[in-house]
Amino acid sequence: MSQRMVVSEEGLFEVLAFLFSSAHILVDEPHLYGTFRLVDGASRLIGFALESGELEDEGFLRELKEDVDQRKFLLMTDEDTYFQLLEDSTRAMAREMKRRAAANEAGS
Amino acid sequence: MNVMEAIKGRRSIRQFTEEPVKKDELERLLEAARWAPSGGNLQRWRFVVVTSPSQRELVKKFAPGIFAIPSAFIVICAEIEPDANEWKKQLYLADCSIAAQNIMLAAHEMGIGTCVALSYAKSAIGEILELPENVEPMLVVTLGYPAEDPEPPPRFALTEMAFEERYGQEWKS
Repeated sequence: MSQRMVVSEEGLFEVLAFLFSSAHILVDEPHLYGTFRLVDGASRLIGFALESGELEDEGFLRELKEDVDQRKFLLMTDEDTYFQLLEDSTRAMAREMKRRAAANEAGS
Repeated sequence: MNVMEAIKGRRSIRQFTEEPVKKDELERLLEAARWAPSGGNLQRWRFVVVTSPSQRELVKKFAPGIFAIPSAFIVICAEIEPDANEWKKQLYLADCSIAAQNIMLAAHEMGIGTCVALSYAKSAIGEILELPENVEPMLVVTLGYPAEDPEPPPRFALTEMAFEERYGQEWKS
């Protein structure tokens, strides 16, 4: 896995503004909005990493971001599909990280 | 477009084209807000119009509920009276909400898309807009020419939300 910086300083500040603002307003917002802010924040972070062009293999993250962005707004109209997104994205991350760990092990 | 058409045709628009909303268009929207009713005709609303790219970007960064940079924001604030109690504060929110709806309906008639947001960090918005201590941002309206044409979300039937004479007694059309 790359050891390079994959998010610019500007991107870092934007993500931090998003995270701090979310933490601040989630005190009063419906609790499910918390899950939304987390997946939305993850999608934004992936976006900055993709923009940097520094990722060794961006295919997985690009697809994951597309899926998250396509299904995240279903929180408002179709909770079941939205909950499925939360499960699917977590499972996809685990699968990808397992694959990467195995590849690293095989390479060392 | 008559009023009912505007009410039923308006959608929350979250994706905008690059086309700017012009100054005279913004002024027309402010005029629509100015004519909204307010409790006791207090008119404690204040409107901060944000159009410069740097200010728009800053506002968006501290508004997790806003997903694209619009052409303009109208930040609807309340100038809080020194002796305002909780009732007064509820009144300010009601007044600002009515003004926001006036803005959104007028914008819809002009072909401008809007979305009203409450998901923003008030402290950060206050800092960015240099709001005095007694001025609170109540609502943010995003404005721009629509880059999407969303389907209307489902609405409850009248029979589920309207009653005749007393709560629970079904509304009959």
